[in-house]
Amino acid sequence: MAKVNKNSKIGVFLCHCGDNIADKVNIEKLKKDLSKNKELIVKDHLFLCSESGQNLILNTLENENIDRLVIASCSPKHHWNIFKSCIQQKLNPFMWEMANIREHCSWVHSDKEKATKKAMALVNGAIAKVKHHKPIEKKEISINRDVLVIGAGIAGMHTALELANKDFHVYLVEKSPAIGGNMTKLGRTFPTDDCSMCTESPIMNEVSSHPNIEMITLSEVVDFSGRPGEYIATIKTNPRYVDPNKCTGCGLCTEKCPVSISSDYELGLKNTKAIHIPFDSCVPEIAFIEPDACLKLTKNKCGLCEKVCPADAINYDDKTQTKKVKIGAVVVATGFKQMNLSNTEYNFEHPDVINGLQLERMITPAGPTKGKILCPSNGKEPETVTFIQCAGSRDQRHNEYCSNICCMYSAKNAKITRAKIPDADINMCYIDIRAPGRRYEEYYRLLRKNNIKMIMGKPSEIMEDANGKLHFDVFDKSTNKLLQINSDLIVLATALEPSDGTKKMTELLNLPYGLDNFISPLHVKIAPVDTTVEGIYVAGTAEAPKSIQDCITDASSVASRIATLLKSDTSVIDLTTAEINLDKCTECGKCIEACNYSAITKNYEIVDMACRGCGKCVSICPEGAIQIRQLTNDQLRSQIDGILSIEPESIIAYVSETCGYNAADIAGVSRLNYPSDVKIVKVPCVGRLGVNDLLYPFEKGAKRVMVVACPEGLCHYIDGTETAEKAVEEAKKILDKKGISGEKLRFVPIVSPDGPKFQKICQEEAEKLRGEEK
Amino acid sequence: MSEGIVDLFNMSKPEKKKYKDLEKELSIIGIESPNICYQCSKCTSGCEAMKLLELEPHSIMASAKDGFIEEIMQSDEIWDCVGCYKCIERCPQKMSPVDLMYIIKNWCVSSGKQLPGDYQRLLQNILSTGYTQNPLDVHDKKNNNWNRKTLGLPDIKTPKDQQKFTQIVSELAMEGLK
Repeated sequence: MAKVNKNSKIGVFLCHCGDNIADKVNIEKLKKDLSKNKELIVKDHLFLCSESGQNLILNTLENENIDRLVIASCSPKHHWNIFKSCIQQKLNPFMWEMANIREHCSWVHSDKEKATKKAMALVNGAIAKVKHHKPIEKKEISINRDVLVIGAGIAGMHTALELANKDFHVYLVEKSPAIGGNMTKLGRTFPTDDCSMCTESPIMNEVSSHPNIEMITLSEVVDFSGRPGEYIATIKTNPRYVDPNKCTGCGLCTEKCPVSISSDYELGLKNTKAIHIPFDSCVPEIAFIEPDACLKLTKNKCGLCEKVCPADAINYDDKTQTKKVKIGAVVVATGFKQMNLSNTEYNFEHPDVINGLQLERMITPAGPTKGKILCPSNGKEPETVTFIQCAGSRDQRHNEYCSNICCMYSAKNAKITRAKIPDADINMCYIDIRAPGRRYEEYYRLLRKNNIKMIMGKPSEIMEDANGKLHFDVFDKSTNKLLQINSDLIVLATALEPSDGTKKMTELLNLPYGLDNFISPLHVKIAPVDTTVEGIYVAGTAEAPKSIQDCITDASSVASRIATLLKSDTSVIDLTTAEINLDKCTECGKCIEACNYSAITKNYEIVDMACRGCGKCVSICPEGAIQIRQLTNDQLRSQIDGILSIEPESIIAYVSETCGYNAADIAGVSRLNYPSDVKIVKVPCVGRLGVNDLLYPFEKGAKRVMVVACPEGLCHYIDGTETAEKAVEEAKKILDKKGISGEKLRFVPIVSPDGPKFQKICQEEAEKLRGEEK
Repeated sequence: MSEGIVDLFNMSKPEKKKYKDLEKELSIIGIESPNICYQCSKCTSGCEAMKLLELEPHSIMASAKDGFIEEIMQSDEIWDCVGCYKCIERCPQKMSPVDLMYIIKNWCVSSGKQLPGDYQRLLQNILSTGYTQNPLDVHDKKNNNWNRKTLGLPDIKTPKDQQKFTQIVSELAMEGLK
C-alpha cells in the first residue's frame, strides 16, 4: 500500500460545465457531501477547463497542502492534456485522476437524484484510486544512432541512402556477393517500361560510395540482443576467396575456370563457372568462388584461377569472419522469393513452363538469351506464348493472398513479348486484372491494344503431348467456350513468398508474422512499417508482395521513423511501463512469452523503451509480481471499492481505453440514456484484466460485470482481446462453482463509434439486474 | 509448330484474317480494336434485345476477339439487335458492339446468307409502311411514360399509295446494293 502523507490532502475539483453537468448532477450536494471528509479540499467551477478554472486549480495547489487531486468533469479524451499541463506546473504530471461525470453520467441519465448519486460513486472511486498514485518519473535512455539494414535490395538500399543522407551511420548487410536484390534481375519495369538496371545502377553505386554506409556483402545477421536504442547484432561474413581490394573484375579467372555450374542468378537459364562475377555491372564488381563447386577448395586440385589472376587476388585461405555491431535501430528488408510450383498442375518441370522472373532474364539484353525470348527446350523463338496469372496466389491450397504485382508485370511482359515477336499469338489467362495505381489502368488498356488474347478463365492443368509440346484446356467465361490452347512457351505469374532470409529474421528478431509468413507490421493501416518490437522496422517485400514504387515509399517512411527514434543521443520517456517485483517473481517465464513487444528480458528486466504499458503481463503473472505503474492492482481495486462503497449494487463495466471508452463517450455525446447502475472503469487494454480482477467486483458486492473490449483483430495491443476473453471464460467457471452464475459476467466486443451498442448492453444488463431483484 | 487455339465444342479455329478485316472496318468508322473490350458486360446489362431475345453483346464481342467470326455469322443472335445504340453510348471503353454486329450482318447479306424469319418480317414492314413497327410507349429511368403525343411529336404518317411506296423503297434498297 502506498503511504499517503498524513498531512497532505487530496484536491477535488468539480466542474459544472455550464449546465452540461450541473443540470443533472447536483454539484452543491456533491460538494457538501465530499467536504465532510477532512482528507479532501473540494472546489467547484463553472468551466474548470477555462483559464480561470485552471487558475483555481493552480491557486489551490499553491495555497493548500495538496499532493494529488481528482478532477470530476468531462471525458479525458477532451481535456486530459489541458489539465495535465496545468497540474505539472506544481506536481508530478501523473498525480491526479479524472472522473468523467459528463459523458458517462449527466449526459446519459435523466433522473437528477440517481445521476448525482452515480457522480458521487465515480468521484469516490477516483479519490480511492488516486490515494495509491505514486509519481511516475521520467527516464533518460542512451541511444546509439547507428542503424543496421538487413538486405540490400531496392528497399534496403533506399532506406540506407535516406538514412545516410540524414547523417546516420548505416551497416548494410547483404547475403549475396553483390547488392541490388531481385530488381537487378528484371528486364524492364512497369508502368514506365524503363530498363531496371538503368534505374537501379546509380542507386547501387551511390550506396557503395557513400561515406556513411558500410556495405557488408556475403553476410548474415546470426545473433541479436539488446534493447531499442542499443541493440547488438553479430554479423557473419562468409569467405569470398577473392581479395576485394585487389580484384579488378577483369574476368580472366572465370574464362579459365574448368568447373561449369548452373547459375543461381540466371535462374537455371545459363551456366556459369565456379569462380565468377555475379552479373554485369554488379556492385561490388568483383569475383567470388562458390566453395561447394571449386576443385581447389573441395579436392585441393586445379588452382587455375590463382595462376591466371593478374592482380594476385585469389585467396583460398579466406575464412569466415564475425563482428559485433552496436545499433539503435534495425530495418528488415530481406525481401521475397518466387514460389516453387514443382509437382503441381502447372507442369513447372517442363523446360518451356517458366516463371515471370525467368522471362525477365530473357528480356534483359545482358541476360542468358541476350534479350531474346526463346523456348528453353529447343532454343527456338515461340510462335505462341501464354501468360497464366495467379499461379499459387489467391489459392487456398498454396497462398491465400494476391501477390500484388503480377497483373502489372505480366501486362508489361506480354507487351514486351509483342514487341520482340510481332507475329506471335499471345494469350493471357486470368481471373480478373488488378491495376490500382497511378498510370496502371492506362497501362492495362495499352496492353489490350497489343492484340493480346485475354481469356477470362484459368486452365485446370498444363499437359504435354507425345512430342513434349505443351497444351491445355481452358473455359473462357466471356464466350462460354472450352478452348484448347497449344502454347510453345508458358509464363506463370508465380506467387511471391517471403524469402528464406525473411523467415530467418522473423525468428531471430522475434517478429510476429502472418499466416502468409510475411512479417506483420505493428498496425496494417496506421503503423505499416513499424513492428511490434520498438526500433525494428520492416521495409519492402519482407512485409508483403509489393511493387518497386511501394518499396521506395516504405524505405523513405522507415528512414523517417528511425530519424524520429534516433533524433538524439538520449531519449526521455515517461515510465508508464511495467515493473517487476523480483522478490515475488518465480521466473516462470509466462510474462516473457505473453509480451508482444519483447519488452521483458530473459533476466526479467523491463525494457522501458519497448514496453507499451498494455498490462497483459499483469494479467498473466500467477504471482502478482508484475505491475504497470499507471494502473496497479491497488489502484484498480481501490477504485472499485470507492465506487461500490457509495452504490454497492452496481454493474461494473471494465472498458478498454480506446474502443470501449470511446463507445461509452459516443453514447454520452449522443445522449443515449441508460440506467445509472452501470459504472465505467477504464483499463489501458482489457488484456490487463486477470481472472482475479474479474472476480473482485463480485466479492465487493457488484451485481454484474461487463468487459467491453476492442473487437478481435482490432485490439490496439495485438491480442489483449483474446487474452481477456480467455480470462472471462475462466472466471465464469469459477463464478458458476461459487453459485454466483457465470452469466453475470459478460464479454462484449465493441467498435469505437458504436455508442448505440454501448447503450443497448447497459440497458440489457440493468434489465437482468432488475429481473434478479424481483 | 503450334496450332494455336481450338474451340473444343465444335473443333473450330479462330479466323485471324476475318478478325483483321473486322478491325479494319471498325477503324473506318473510328472504333478501336475489339481487343480493348475488357468484358465488363455493361452492354449486355442494358441491351434491349437481351431482355426479350437473350442477345449478349459482350459475348459476341468476346467471340469476335477470339476470332470465332464464322460462328457469329451462322447464329441468328446478331439479328436480334434493334440498333438502339445504347451499348456504344454507355461503353466505358468506347467499344461498339452494335457497329461490330452491323459489319458482320453486312457480311452475311453479301455472302447471300438466308436471313432469319423475324428479320424478314421486319424488312417487309419497312417495305409496306416505312417503319420496322408501330411506335410503342417508352419509360425513362424515373419510370415516366412517354409516347409521341406526350413528347409533342406529330402522328406517324402512312403511305397513301401502298403499291407505289413499296416500289420506291425497293428501288432505293437495290440502289444501296449496287
